[in-house]
Amino acid sequence: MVADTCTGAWRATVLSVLVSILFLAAAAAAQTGVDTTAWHGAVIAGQPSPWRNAHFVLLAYGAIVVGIILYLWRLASFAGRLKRDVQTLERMIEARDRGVGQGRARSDHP
Amino acid sequence: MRRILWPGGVALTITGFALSLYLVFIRTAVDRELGFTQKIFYFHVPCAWVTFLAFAITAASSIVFLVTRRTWWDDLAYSSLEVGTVFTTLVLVTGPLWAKPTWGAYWVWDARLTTTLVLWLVEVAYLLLRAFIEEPERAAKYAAVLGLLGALDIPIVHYSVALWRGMHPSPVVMAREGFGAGLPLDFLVALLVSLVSFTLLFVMLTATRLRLEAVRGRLAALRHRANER
Repeated sequence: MVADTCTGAWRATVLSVLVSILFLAAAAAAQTGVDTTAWHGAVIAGQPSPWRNAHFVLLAYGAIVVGIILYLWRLASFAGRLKRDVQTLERMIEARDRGVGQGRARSDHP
Repeated sequence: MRRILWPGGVALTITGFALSLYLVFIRTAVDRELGFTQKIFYFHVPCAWVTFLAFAITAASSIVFLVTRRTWWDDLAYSSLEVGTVFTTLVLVTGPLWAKPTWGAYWVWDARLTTTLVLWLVEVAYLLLRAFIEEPERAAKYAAVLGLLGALDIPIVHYSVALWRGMHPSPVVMAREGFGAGLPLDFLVALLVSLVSFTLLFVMLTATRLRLEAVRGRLAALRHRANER
């Protein structure tokens, strides 16, 4: 159970990082053709590229995606645990009430 | 009603984020001075906004709980703060990732950064208080007081840039010159779409957490019933 959940979390993390990388790659490819007001896509020799710190952006957006996924996972596991506990208790109470009922029925019998 | 609201809310949130990512990475320009790093701003600021919103809801709910003693308000305060802590953590992660290429250091003891860290520590203390006090009524009462005291840090965080001149940039949306005066229009639109998307996400997460608190209440009642006879 725990192993399954951990594998699921790892898969979700790897998938989110991969999706982030793919998205940023697509965005970077699309950016050069867009008419922008601040930077028009031409890199002047001797000047640093505007993309030079892109890995920080990737890390920041990746952190947000991973953070939200981890919290959703926490909520899902908490909900699952609560549901199991409620079902167990309901079954226990039902079985006990039935047992008491049958006991009463037997004792009422002449 | 819930059957319509829930999928509608999820769909709106996903659409909001898709639109926001499109605007941030494809439609808005790359900042001339900060370069591509400026893109962090579009998700960092909404995370900070949600942190403030979450704490404000916690403070207001705590007041109502202390007056009325209705547990629903305590559940709302707890749920809002727990979700808010996630976003404060994200603010503290994305901020240094912006600071390193801009200031040359991941962390400086600037007033805005320090007061935000204090806010996060208050949130963690609130969650620990809830986890370690076994009596639910006592935990709710103490947490409500802590939530109210912690809320005092929100205006300090907000005005820290004006009160103490540090390295953190001044507000560009609620700028002194007027709303959004510090930003070009395309930057402002992308930021506003992100703000709406993050607010929707916060509402969805808090509503889910609140429902789980209701289930936890039911579980406590069942445990009480099981131990009764």
